[in-house]
Amino acid sequence: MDNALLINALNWSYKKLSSIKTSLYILGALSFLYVIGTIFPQGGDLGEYAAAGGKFVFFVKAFSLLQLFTSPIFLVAALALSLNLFICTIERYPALFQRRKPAQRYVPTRSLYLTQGLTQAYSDTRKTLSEGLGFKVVSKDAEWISMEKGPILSYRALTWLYHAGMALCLIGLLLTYLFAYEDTLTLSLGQATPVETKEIGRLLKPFGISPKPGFSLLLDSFTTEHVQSPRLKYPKDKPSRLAIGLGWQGLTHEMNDESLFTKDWRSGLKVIKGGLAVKEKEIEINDPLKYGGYTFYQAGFSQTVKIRVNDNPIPLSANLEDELAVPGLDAPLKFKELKAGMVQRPNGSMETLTPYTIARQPVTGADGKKKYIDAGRLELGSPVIIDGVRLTLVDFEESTVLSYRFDPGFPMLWWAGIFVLIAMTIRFFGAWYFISYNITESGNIVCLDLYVEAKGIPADCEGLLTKIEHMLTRGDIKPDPVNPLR
Amino acid sequence: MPLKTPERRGCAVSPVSLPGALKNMSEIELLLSRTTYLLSVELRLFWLIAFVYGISFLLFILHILTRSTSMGKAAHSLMWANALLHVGLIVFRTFEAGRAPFQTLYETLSWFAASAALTYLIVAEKFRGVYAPGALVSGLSMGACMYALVSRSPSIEPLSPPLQSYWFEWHVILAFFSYAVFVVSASIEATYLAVKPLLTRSGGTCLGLTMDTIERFRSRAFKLVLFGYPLLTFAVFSGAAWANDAWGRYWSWDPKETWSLITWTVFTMYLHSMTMQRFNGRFASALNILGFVCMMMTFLGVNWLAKLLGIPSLHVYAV
Repeated sequence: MDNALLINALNWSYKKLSSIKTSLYILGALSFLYVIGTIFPQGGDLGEYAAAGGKFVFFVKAFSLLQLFTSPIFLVAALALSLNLFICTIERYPALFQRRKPAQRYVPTRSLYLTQGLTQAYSDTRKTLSEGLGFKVVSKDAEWISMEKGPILSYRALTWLYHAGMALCLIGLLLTYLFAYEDTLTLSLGQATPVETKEIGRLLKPFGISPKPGFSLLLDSFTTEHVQSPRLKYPKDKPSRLAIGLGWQGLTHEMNDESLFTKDWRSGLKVIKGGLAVKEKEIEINDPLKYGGYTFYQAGFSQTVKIRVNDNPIPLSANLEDELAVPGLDAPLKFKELKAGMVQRPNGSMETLTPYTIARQPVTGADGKKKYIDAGRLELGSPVIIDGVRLTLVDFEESTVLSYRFDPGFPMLWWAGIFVLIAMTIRFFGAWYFISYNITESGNIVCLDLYVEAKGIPADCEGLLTKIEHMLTRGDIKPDPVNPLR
Repeated sequence: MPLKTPERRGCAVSPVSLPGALKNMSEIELLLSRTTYLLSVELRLFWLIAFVYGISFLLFILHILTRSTSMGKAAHSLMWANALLHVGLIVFRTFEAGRAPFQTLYETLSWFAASAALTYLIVAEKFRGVYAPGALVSGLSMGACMYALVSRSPSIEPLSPPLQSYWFEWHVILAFFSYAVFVVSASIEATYLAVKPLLTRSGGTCLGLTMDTIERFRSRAFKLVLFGYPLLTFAVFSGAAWANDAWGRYWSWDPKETWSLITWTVFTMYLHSMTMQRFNGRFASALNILGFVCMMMTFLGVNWLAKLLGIPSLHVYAV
């Protein structure tokens, strides 16, 4: 009894999950969850949310809305979509090899009176469709002959293929979800740093299995590139902007020492394994290094400046993010990003920049908020006096910040995605026609009934029928259109 | 103390200080005055284009209210001339910037307005005599232009490192092409939903449509979504591939990414509903329009949402 109940329940579930109607409901539910995920800051802390005056603390806690995309409710919806997609794909596979249903049940799209005998009409119609228009016979019975035409594969096969490709994408996503992990690595120039990950994929985490990459990375070089470019001084108020548009007010650009945009930064990396450099690459954003299943990305860089105060032989060291208390100055200093490396001038020439940074001092604004104002430009080796204190930028250090990731799901997702795009593009941008015709003779009247179906964006039923009519006329059959509902 | 600078690769030139390089001021001044002049010309033309979209919009509205065909024709012709001028302006901006013109929101708004207008005008050739969908398209184009002109800076800046990728052009061009197609599809669907009840009630002709032609007219909206859907799929896919190269993770559930997925999902629902007799009527029409709303959220609304709710977005350079 229990088994029968279970089988019935499974049958019911299978039937429901093979339906497009279910797809609609699941996709709707997922869309709703996605929207919720953009309203609540993902990865946020519940305590912070409550402290910030969040009004939905109960719901946020109950449904893990701050980690929605890894919450049970989302995973259930994603699982339902995956099952729906897999079952629909499997369910529709046999249909690819089934013959089309006979067309008798359809109302003819167009009917034409022919002026020839039945046998000649059959022969000319078949010749027109197969030789003239490239149709191929797919089924035939006593009355109706069905033919198809289209680019490679049938549209049903392509539809099936891109759904199957999406199922593969979901497998790729699952692999990412279970096995992928990532971490960051900061490398100083000339130092080999072993890759030792603390993070681990979801599946291996409970077992305490820790991957051991077994190689080190050496930062061989670090390069930054800047470009000097004009800055537009554009008014913020709307009337002034309108005045500029009407030509009543002019525009201004300025370009000075500070008009530098960071164009690029690159890290020359060496992979060291067993004391040997086994791979070497200069990476930048959009061009990572791949080795041993890991991908290393250029995430950023950090800088430290060394400032000599007056004649003190020991310079002070400061990270750019932190304030530096300088003896003799009332307020601490903070430094802007150090500019070093190459600079591209407006005329296209490249020059090496003398490294410099801008020292800033805190002030209290009219609104009571703390802000920083520029106090002096410190160029490497050139002293600057700020509030009676002589400061010299004597040295600096740059480190590269890499993020790295192990993701066995990505290759499958990538290739399946390309497959989906190709199949979908051919399916949507190709034209498929299915035509079924039947020629009858009643008294002395020979009538050709045509039923046409078309798929794809460029497919044009009316155009095809007009063409058939024209070709049959040219073949001296002289058809006359009649009411299809005769 | 010895200087420990990293090994610098690239051009072997002697180090010079920046102020030294600025000695040749006449060259700099020439560059600045040229940049300023070109941008002033561009801004004046852009204001004119926004104004003409506004006139077209008013004429389309008058056409709908008065049912005057001549108003519709005038609006349509004006929009053609304006869209061509707008394309010219985008080409001008491309030469001015020396790169593809869709780095900032100012540029993408302009691109969006022009591509939507041009797509509408090309598609409208298939249903001559029906002008009502032009109201939504011209209104949106005008709104996008005005938003760019009033709220965004037209400054031309060098490409930031994450944007220096071969994905930049393809991802943005195809995403915006799909947006343009969805705008036109929604405008056709909205016209269908407005006109169909009137025709059912009173028959005859309404805004150039009859009971015989209205379903064929609506099928254009479906075909447009069929056209835009693979483009949007490519945009989502290429965005993920690009994010993987630039940020080291192909999907971060960033608000922009999530809304693009919502848009894709809603259009997936629309395409599925069109295959089912039970859902291919008003329900499908509603999904098409909802897809358009989601697309607008992906493009613009998400910036506002992220700002309102204080959610950090990786797509800040697009704001």
